Amino acid sequence: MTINLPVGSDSDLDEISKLFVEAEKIIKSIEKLDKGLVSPSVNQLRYLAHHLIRILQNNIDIEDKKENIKLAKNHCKRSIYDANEVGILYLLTKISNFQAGYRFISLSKHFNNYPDNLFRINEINKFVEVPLSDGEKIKYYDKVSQHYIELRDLSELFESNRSEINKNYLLKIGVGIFVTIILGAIFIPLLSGYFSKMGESYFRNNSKDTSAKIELKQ
Amino acid sequence: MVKALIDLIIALFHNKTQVSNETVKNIVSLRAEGNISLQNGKYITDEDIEKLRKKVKKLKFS
Repeated sequence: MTINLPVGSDSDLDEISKLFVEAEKIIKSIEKLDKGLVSPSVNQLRYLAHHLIRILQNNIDIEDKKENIKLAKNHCKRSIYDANEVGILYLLTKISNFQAGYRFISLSKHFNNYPDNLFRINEINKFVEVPLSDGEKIKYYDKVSQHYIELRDLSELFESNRSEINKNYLLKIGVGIFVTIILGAIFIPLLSGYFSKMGESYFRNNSKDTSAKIELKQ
Repeated sequence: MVKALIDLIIALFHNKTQVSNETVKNIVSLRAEGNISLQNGKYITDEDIEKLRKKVKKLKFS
């Protein structure tokens, strides 16, 4: 059986094939993050299958096939966008949790470009803050992939430094406890001595006053 | 596959076969958690994505 394809559609089909592999890869990658299977992305691949079948049918004209090739590409791009978006949203919460865990220490000492990193994270956060239209998702599918990779690398950088940060953190806590104990050992006896003397003099004065009053009454 | 499973569950309830209600409940609860067709995962729906977006919107990285 011969399938009639529009002229030059080989390169289009190659592009669809590459986009499909990319979509598959990112869907699997998000699944491995323990987040699950991104159903909107998988749905886009189902729509892609529909258009590919239409392209294979000989009972539709060449112009229709061209339209189906275009739609197939767009569904691949949508699939890539949707999966990457979930990855970005997940990584933003992960990075936020990381920051919250070390809110009492300065993280800029542990990461060279920490302020720049935070700037980039905020930029990406702004990008996903508002859901885009279908057309915009197709347009920016590549941009969102880059954002995801950038955020993934940053998250990996932060997580890989956790043990080193923890060491310093624990060291600081240890030093703090040690200093508190030493200061306590010095000041508690001093203060207790001071207050006991104060108490003694107070009771002595009080007893003198009482005996004087008793004498006066008599 | 999920649809087939729902059909199966409905059929089980209507025909009152030998499968216990407990088993059916377990299958339904598994489906609710989205664990039915994946070994270690679940499905992320549009609703989940919007919930996640709302959560992320409140975050400030400083």
